Amino acid sequence: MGRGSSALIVTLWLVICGPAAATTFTAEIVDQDGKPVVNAVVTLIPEQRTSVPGASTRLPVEKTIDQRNETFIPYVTIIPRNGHVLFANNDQTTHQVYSFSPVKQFELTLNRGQISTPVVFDNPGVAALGCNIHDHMIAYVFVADSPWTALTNAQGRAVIEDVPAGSYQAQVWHPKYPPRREPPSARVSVGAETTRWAANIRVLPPAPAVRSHAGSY
Amino acid sequence: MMSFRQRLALLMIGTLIVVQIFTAVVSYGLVRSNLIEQGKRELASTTAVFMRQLNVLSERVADDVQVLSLDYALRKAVAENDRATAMSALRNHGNRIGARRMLIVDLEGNVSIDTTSESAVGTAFPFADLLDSATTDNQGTALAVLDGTIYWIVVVPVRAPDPVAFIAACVPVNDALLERLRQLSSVPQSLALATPGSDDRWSVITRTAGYQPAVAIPSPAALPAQNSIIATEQSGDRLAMTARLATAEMSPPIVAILDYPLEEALTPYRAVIIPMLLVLLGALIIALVGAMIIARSVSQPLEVLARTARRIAKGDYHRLPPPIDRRDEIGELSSTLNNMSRSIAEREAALREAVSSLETARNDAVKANEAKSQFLSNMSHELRTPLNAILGFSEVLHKQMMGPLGGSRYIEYANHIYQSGAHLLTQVEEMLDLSQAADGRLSITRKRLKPSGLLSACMAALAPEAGKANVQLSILGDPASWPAIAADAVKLQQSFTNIIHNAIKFTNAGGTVTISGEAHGAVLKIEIKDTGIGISPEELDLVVRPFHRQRPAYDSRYQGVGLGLPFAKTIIELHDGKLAINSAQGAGTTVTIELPVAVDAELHDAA
Repeated sequence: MGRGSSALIVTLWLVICGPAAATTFTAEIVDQDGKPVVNAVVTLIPEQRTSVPGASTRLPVEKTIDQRNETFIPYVTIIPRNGHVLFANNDQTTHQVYSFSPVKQFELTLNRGQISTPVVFDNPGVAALGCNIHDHMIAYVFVADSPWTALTNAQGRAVIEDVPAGSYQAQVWHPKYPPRREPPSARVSVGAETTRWAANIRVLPPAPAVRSHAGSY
Repeated sequence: MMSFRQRLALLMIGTLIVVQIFTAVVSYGLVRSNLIEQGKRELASTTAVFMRQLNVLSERVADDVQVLSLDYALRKAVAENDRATAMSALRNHGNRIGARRMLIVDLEGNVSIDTTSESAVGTAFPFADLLDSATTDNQGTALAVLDGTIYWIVVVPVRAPDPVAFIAACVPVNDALLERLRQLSSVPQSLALATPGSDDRWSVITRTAGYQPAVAIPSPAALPAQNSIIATEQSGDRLAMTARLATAEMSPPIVAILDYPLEEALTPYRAVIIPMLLVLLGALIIALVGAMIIARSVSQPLEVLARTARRIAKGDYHRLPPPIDRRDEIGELSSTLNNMSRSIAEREAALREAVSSLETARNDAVKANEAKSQFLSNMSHELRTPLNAILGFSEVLHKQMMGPLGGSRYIEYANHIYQSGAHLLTQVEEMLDLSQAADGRLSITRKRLKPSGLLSACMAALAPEAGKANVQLSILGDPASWPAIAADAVKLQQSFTNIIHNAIKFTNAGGTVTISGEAHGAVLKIEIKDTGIGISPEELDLVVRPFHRQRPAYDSRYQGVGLGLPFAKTIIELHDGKLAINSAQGAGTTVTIELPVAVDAELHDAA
């Protein structure tokens, strides 16, 4: 099968500077066209698991996912394991938020103006959220196991502060990363100086309109 | 036998019909070949239309499947791997959209649910290109052969909300569907879809009602690109186009066979044929009348000519139709015919004049001849009377019947008178006989007699003459043994005398005249042969004509009036005999006489 076989080129380089105690890790993610990729989740997984603090020690345990203009805001939400998310319906319509993802399966009906009870995500991974009423609404909850997890901004840059020096596995996830394929990862040694990591990932184009008539012919 | 006019009209009509039929056949052929070309174009465009119609169908099915893919229960069941729920939802929705077979294909490309066949579960879905299209374009649709059935397969992702699997809805392209597509086409045709069977031959999977596999489809080997026409075959009154349809990549090839019955397509043209035939009929009638008129204008002068010729043949030159006033061959023929008849009339008049003057001359001649005969007859009679007196009295004197004469010379002279008179009488009588024979009035009196007697008398009479001329006269054999004949003794003796006398006369001194004879059956043949001067061939015919003489009259040696031989010939022929002369100049002459032998008891013996 050809899917995803278009070469995923990952180029990594490390710029190590600063003291060995703790430093700032910066990842720069571009797509196959060299454009910065927003909403990519960059995670550093320490190779020595014993010294890893809980993710919730560094990441906010509660996040709110808004629904405005039939759009989930934000698109990607990072919470630590066992963190929870509130869903706030700020639209004039009812939303029926669901997730069939193995990470967390739930279904909530939110009337307009309603805020849900917290939904706890106790398994690490990604939950894809949809609205059964509005199929174009989609959002992702990234349940992080590692405290050193960050989201890229519009410039495709994710900044993780105060990373202890050591060896890490740097990983990237993106909603539009081709399915069933391991996202790029690299072993990085974080030293005293600011560590920069640049990754190039293949990103699928935005999902076509559901009722597209663009057939094969 | 047809008249010239009929034949001419027939020729023209025949030509017209042939031209019309030729035109009709050629037109029909042109229409037909045009139609074939048009049919090919129609089929090509129909093939394209067919593909577009299938696309429309696929969009409708895809829309339905898209809606289905967003069914909450279904995607929940698929996402949560609730197989029983997913299966029942697929069946329910599949029936609604006409998809007999519904598959769920996981993101790995393996079939996880199949509404019709459990055995497919766990196997790879064969049409990966459709999964790719579904991933990138939200749907992948294509014709494909799956387990021997031709389907429109629509693959859409199941979004929950990200793709978690694919729904593959398989809509069978069956006879009813083809029939619906066929009805959308503007041309009469039937339709079939075929795919290679196990034996690498095309096997027709589905077809419309009217489809007849009339035309061979090219072998599945060496197939052209998808969506292109493989072949356009014509067989009799059917035209078939085979086009390869676009299919999913891994599908066996599928061809569409469009069968285009020319017969049906020609039907509107057939409707034109009846009016065409009516027009043809009208044209034929007009042409018939026209041909009759033209033929008449050509043949009428010929008939006039024929009438003229018939009159000429009958000899009627005077009431001829006037010549035809035309400046063409017929006009020339007519004036020539009239001129000819005029000159024939003139020549005939001249001929008639000549004939009538000839007739006059002949009548005059006949009359003159009659007068001459009459004159001769009268003359002979008038001559004989005094001759009898001369003969009688000279005999009296010669025989001194009334007392002796004074001198012996008187006796001699009297004898001369008697001899000359007797000769003259003979001549006169011969002339009279010839004259009568010429008029057919001479008759002979036949008595049975022995020719020897006649010959002896002749010999006796001519012996002095022969002696004088010193010619030896003899008879070979014994004439007494010759058979009797029926004859006029006087005239036949005179004839023999004439012949022998001639022989003596034209034989020089020392020559011979030999008489011989023998019987040949019923014919007595007598030859009188001399050693004389002979007769030239050109004169042989003339010597038997009256008054012909071989020698000029002044030749004193051969005197005579030229009656001897003609008389003999005439008399012998009156006896049913023949007289022939064989001679060469200087080599003597042989006169052969043939006389019929007398039949016993026919006549009384003359002796």
